[in-house]
This record gives sequence, C-alpha cells and structure tokens, in this order.
Amino acid sequence: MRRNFKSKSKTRVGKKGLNELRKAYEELDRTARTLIRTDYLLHRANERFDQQISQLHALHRIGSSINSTFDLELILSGISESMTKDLDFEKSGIVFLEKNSQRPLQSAYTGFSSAEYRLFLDSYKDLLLPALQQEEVYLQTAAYAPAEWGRLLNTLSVSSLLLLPMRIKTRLIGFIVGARPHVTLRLSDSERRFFAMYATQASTAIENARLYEALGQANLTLEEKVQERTKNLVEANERLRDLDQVKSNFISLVSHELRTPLTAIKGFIVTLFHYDKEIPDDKRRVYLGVLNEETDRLTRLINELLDISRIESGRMEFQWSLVSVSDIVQRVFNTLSVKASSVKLERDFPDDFPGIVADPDKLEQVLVNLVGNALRYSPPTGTITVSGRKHEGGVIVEVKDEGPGIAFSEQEKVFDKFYRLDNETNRKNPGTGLGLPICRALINLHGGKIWVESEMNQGCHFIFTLPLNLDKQSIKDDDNRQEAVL
Amino acid sequence: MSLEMGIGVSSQADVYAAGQEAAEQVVSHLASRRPDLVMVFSSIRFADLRMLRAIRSVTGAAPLLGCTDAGGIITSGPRRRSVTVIGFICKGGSFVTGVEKHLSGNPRAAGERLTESLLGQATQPPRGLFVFPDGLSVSGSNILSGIERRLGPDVLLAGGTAADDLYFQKTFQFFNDEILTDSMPGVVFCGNIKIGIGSRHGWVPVGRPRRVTRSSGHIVYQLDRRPAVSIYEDFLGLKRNELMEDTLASMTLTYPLGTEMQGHSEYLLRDAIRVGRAGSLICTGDVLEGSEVRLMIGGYESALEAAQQAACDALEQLGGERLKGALVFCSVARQKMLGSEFQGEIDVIRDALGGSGVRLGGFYTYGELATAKQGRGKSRRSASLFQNESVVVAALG
Repeated sequence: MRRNFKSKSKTRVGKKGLNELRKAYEELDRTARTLIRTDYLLHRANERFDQQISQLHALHRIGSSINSTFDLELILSGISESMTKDLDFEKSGIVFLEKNSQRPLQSAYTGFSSAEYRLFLDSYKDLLLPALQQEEVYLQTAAYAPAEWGRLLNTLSVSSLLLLPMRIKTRLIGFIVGARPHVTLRLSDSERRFFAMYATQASTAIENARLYEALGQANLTLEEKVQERTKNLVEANERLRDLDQVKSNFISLVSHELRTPLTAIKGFIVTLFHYDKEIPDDKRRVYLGVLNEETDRLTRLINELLDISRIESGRMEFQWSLVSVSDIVQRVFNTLSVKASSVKLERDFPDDFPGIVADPDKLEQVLVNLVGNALRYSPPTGTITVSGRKHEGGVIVEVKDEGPGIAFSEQEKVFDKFYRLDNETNRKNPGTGLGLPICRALINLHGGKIWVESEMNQGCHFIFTLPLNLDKQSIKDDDNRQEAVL
Repeated sequence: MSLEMGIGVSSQADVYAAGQEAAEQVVSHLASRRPDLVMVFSSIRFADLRMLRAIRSVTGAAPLLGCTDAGGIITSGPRRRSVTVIGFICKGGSFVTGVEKHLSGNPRAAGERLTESLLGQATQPPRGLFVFPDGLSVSGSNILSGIERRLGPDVLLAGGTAADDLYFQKTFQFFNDEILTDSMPGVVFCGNIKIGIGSRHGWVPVGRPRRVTRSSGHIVYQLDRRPAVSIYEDFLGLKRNELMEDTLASMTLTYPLGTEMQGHSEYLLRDAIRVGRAGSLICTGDVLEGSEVRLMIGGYESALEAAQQAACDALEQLGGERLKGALVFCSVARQKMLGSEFQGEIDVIRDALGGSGVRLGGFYTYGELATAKQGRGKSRRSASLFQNESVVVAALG
C-alpha cells in the first residue's frame, strides 16, 4: 500500500487526484466519527446496563439480607451498611419514626461520628421533615444548597446528601440518608427510580418486622392472659373445692348440732305427751330442764350462725358507746357464776383502766365466749382470771385459765371457722366451732386484735387489744374487709 | 527469599474494621510477621484517619504510603469500593519513603525534591522508585520531568496518580499517619531486590490527525485552529454544553488524545478531564504545541494483548530471578472500556506472570508513570513516561 502510495506521489498527483485524495481522507475521518459515536453510544448503553445490574444486585442483596430477619435493629443496621458498601455513600443512616408523633424513634448509622449524627437528627423538624414530605428522592448539593442546608452539609463534612423517605401507603414511617464528600449535581431518572425502589424495599422490611413484633407481642400477651386466666381458674377451683368442703363440713356439723338437741327435745316431748299423767313431778321438772337446755343450745347455735352470716355479709350493726370493760367482765362473771361452780373467777383491772368506745353487747359476747371456753377446760378448782391494762393508745385484755393449754400448731387454727380441737372435752361438749372466729371478727371490727398464747399443761391466755378511740372511718373500712378478717 | 509480599483487602462498612481486616490478612500472608513497608490503596470512602490507625495498629510503625483509587487490585482480581493493603518484607533490601506536599505550587520541583531526597537517603543501591501523586491537581508530565531529572539511568520508575472513584473532584494521599491531598508520597526499593517494569495500553488511532495549534502545558486551547473541545463535539456527536455540564472525563475517558512517539510502538496518550475557558481541554499530562494528535480508541482484544505484553516485558527484565510478586497500576479508562469484563485483564496479567500462585496488588489510577524501553537493539534505552489508558506491571524479584 505504502509502495503504491509512493509510486503515485512519484507520478505527480494532479489537482484532481489531490482533491480525490483529500475527499477520501475526509471520508475516512467521517467513517471514524461514525465508528467512535457508535462505540460511545454502545459504551454508554453498556454502562447503564452495568449500573442497572449492579443496582439490582444491590437491591437483591439488601432484600435477601433484611428479609431474612424480623429483628428491626438488624434490619436498620443492614440497610445503613448496604448504603455504604453497595451504594458508595461515605456516610449513611436510617431512621425509624414513632408512629404518632413522627419523631425519630430508632436509628442506625455508618460513617458518621456520633456528634455529626446527633447534629443531623437535630435538624429533623426544621429541615429534614419538610424535605421528606416534598419528594420521593431528595438531593442537596453543597454548591447549590440554600444557606441552612449548606450549614448542615458543612457540619457533616459532606458535599451532597440524599434523603429517601420510607412510606407505607401514604404514611411516613422513616427515612434513609446517604452522604458523600463529592458533589452529586443531579440524579438521572433511572437513579431516582432505583433509590425509590430501594426505599420501598427497606420500608417493606421494616413494616414486616414491626408487624411481626406486634404479632409476637400479641401472642405473648394472649399467652400471658391464657396463663393468668388458667391460674385464676385453678385458684377459683381450689377455692370452690375448699368452700365445698367447708360447706359439707358445715352442713354435716350443723345437721348434727341441730339434730342432737332436736332429738332430745323430741324424745322428751313425746315422753311428756304420752305419759304425762304417769310422770312424777320431780321427773317432769328434770325433763323440762333438759328441754330448756337443749332449746338454749339450739338458740345459741342459730344465733352464732346468724352472727357469722351477718359478719360475712357486712350487715352486722354496732351500737358504739363509751364502756367500762371491767363492768362488762363483772356481768359476764355474774352470768356464768352458776356454770362456774367451784371454779374461781377473778377480775384484775387497775383503777385507772380507761373507758373505751365499743359495742357493749358485742364485747360481752366475746368475753362470754372466752370465759365460757375457759370454764369448759378449767379443772374443777382452777381459777380463771380476766385482767386488763393500758397499752400503746389502747388496752389489752387477757383471759387466763389453768386448763390443759393448746399446742402451738393449733393456736392459729382455733380461730378458723368450724375448727374444733380434737380432745376429750370437745367430744363430750359438742359445739359449732364458730365461737372463736366470731370473737376474732368482732374484735377486728373494733379495730383490735386477738390471739392466744399457751403452753401444753400451762393453761391458755386469750389476749385481745382494743383501741381507746375508735376511728369511725376505720370501722367503715373494716366493714368492707369483714370477709378478709374472718 | 529476599522479598516477600502480603496482600489484604476489605470492604467492610466500618472504616476501622475494614483497615484492620485488610492489615490482618497481610500479616497472615507474611507468616504472622509485621511488614517493613505498607502500601494502602482505597476507595475515597476509606480516606479516614481511623482506617490508617486501624492498619498501623496491626502493622506497627512500618512506613506507610498510598492513595485513594478507582478500585483496588489483588491477586484474585479487581475490587471496587474497598481498601487494599500490601505489605513487604525484604531481607537484604531496604525501603526509603518520603512525601512532597503542595504539589500544585511547582510540580516539577516537587518531583525533583522527592527523588533527590529518597535517593539521597538510600544506604543500599536504589533499584526502583514508586510514586503515587495527586492525579487531579497537577499535570503528571510536570511531576515526571522533575523526577526524571534526578532519577538516574539505573533506577526504574513506576506509579499511578491517585483517583477518587471516577468523581474527578478530589483525591487523597496516605503517608504514615497522615491523609493528604495535592501531595506525592514515594518509596525507593533498595538493595537485594530485582525489579522489572512493563507498560502498555493497546489503544489505536482513528480519524485524521489534528494539529495542536495552541497549547500550554497540559491545557490544549486549539486543534486545527478550532477550540480543542470541538474534536469531541465532532466525534461523540455531543453539544458543547453537554460536554461542559457533566464531567468531561466521564464521557471521554476511553477516547484520549494520542501523539505518535518516535521509537515507540505505541502512542503517548492524554485524557481530557475538563472543558476549560473558550472550549479548551484540560488534560492529565502535557500536550506539545505544534504536535499532531489523533483521537484514540481502545478495543477489548488489543487492551488485553497490551496487558499481557506489559506483564511479559516486566517478567523478562527480572532476568531469570524468581518472581516474588507484582504491583499493577492500571488506568481507570481500561476498567471503563472493558466494562463488566475488566476482571479478564487482571487474569491475563496473572497468567502471564505465572498463574494463580503469583501475588498481585495495585489499584486503578487516573494516570500512570513508568520507565519504558525505547528503541530497538543497541539503541534501546530507558525513558520514563506519563501515560493514560495504560497498565503498568512492576514485577518484583
């Protein structure tokens, strides 16, 4: 070719030939231009293609990474790291907003220092939120940014900042931020589409995690509720079983207690009815005496049942007045003197023993019960002492006997309803097991306490306290607690 | 076992963790020994003091130099958005490092000062100088001419200018604990080290030549008495405002201006990175007024062939010395031109150097500096060039 060219040049190229040569040369240049232009366009297309592949790859990576967990913290840090690793942002972050207040709630960031990130979030209300409400993909670049954005970019030591709002339907649930130290003047349509898809991917993952968490929480609450209800049911069931047992005991006891005097009464009445004329007077008196005792026993039993019923239903009424405990004790002694027979009844109250506000009948009922019990267990020549003394804004009253005493393990049980000590005396003297529970309820309703101290074969000390000035409000409150005190 | 080379890379999101991970890989490569010299090339995202601190927490006080890049190169291939750490240990050899700051003040003088200072400090015969100057603030040709004045005939040159992930805005250089810009760190390999350098691009001219009717240093004002930018308007079919709006380099990177060089089989290439006033072109290196330039185009096959040839040239210069590793400084234009196939180029280089056992480390640059062989036979001599679109392979033995 070179040789041909040389030979041509040797043979004096004419003007026409030179023009043709120049024309061919220009044509060659035009062909080169077409070649370069095509090559350029192909490269551009190829670059766009590569960019889209890498964007899809980034989307896929972020998708598979954040959708493999429901842990919101992991998702947030995964997105923030992906912005840096896959999308080339030097600094990035993601913020999840509180549902109602729309304030930043949870966040993760990469590349920012903690101080920078704090300053960035400080601008949320004034700068970020209005921007997030404006566009799907919001870009600010140092050279063109308004003053306040310029200051923020400067503070963060970046030249461009991208904000991607995350929405579920129309509600803003958070946003992603990416910042670069280099100027990004504008984003192409495909870049905008990509970032919008990226934000959608992120918001879906976050919403899923949030729903999962809510579901988990609901499940947990449900499970807790089921457990609580089951526990309540078990407890209620146990209470019912106990109550059923108590009721059965009560019925059996009450039937027995009612039947025993009734049988006696019926027997003596039948005898008197059929053999009235044949029964001598002295026997008749004995029979009538028995009838009287058994009727008393029935009355007492019914009264006690009524008392318990009133106390439990809160219908027990009190007549408060200033009373002398010593006088009441004396009345009780008088009432029980016959029954006491050879047992000595002693009263020991100091002269300055104060009067107290109480219901005298209820207090008498308590003391009759305590002294009556003491009499039941006292040896024939024993002594029962009822003493009183002042104590811390109230009084203490003590009923002491010389009976066999109560074992320590039984000392609290004797105040349980229908509980009776298993001993010879009780077997001979049937009772309801309601006396001491009624005593405790009445003393409690007076604002006091009752307990027993005893050692085997050393007698019993039933002790109760009473306040000097009973607070009426506390009585009302106590009324409401009657069930509890019983 | 005079020279040993360890490579590490990481793309972790956290810059400290990334630096630490890459440095730990280097130490592990070097059989748990700390390196005597550390080179660091990273994406601009990692240009953070924490990254350097992390690396030095692992490598200790060994001198460190490097720069930001447009992609790292390791044995297995290119790595975008990462930090690449290369560690060297040399028994019977030594390394002298230094840095020149404020390059743009007088790049030629800076090149001269750095070369003089490094060679002056060498206690063993210097073998090769590696430099990583800012690729945007100055003309690479000016730096090179300064270096050449002090380099001497027996010392080879290789290096690449710092890049910034194709943003063409600001690059950074690393030197020990510092992150700098407008600077040039450098190192001289001395003593018992053999170096071979190959450099090629494989670009070919298209269209008729244009005369450089007015230029000054790296600014070309006119071609054929028309504003220089018109060459791209003509060839790419783009309007001037389109060329000015975007970074010119992002569009023209694979179509540099080429000047024929006497005694060289390949053209001297210059990337135009910005459009200046009155349609001038600001290039990465000098373009002589009065010379003829042609638009150049790269092709997949010729580019890979050039890469292979550069590797073979470098290997040949080792003169039978066993290869311990190679540094590769590759133009980002090659990455752009080869597109998704850019991995193939590193494969070709690795294969030419001996296959998978070879250790490679380097980065994608905005400009390459290398000693090139000129002429043939007896008249063959070495001269250094500042090139674009080329790949520089420095084989270390």
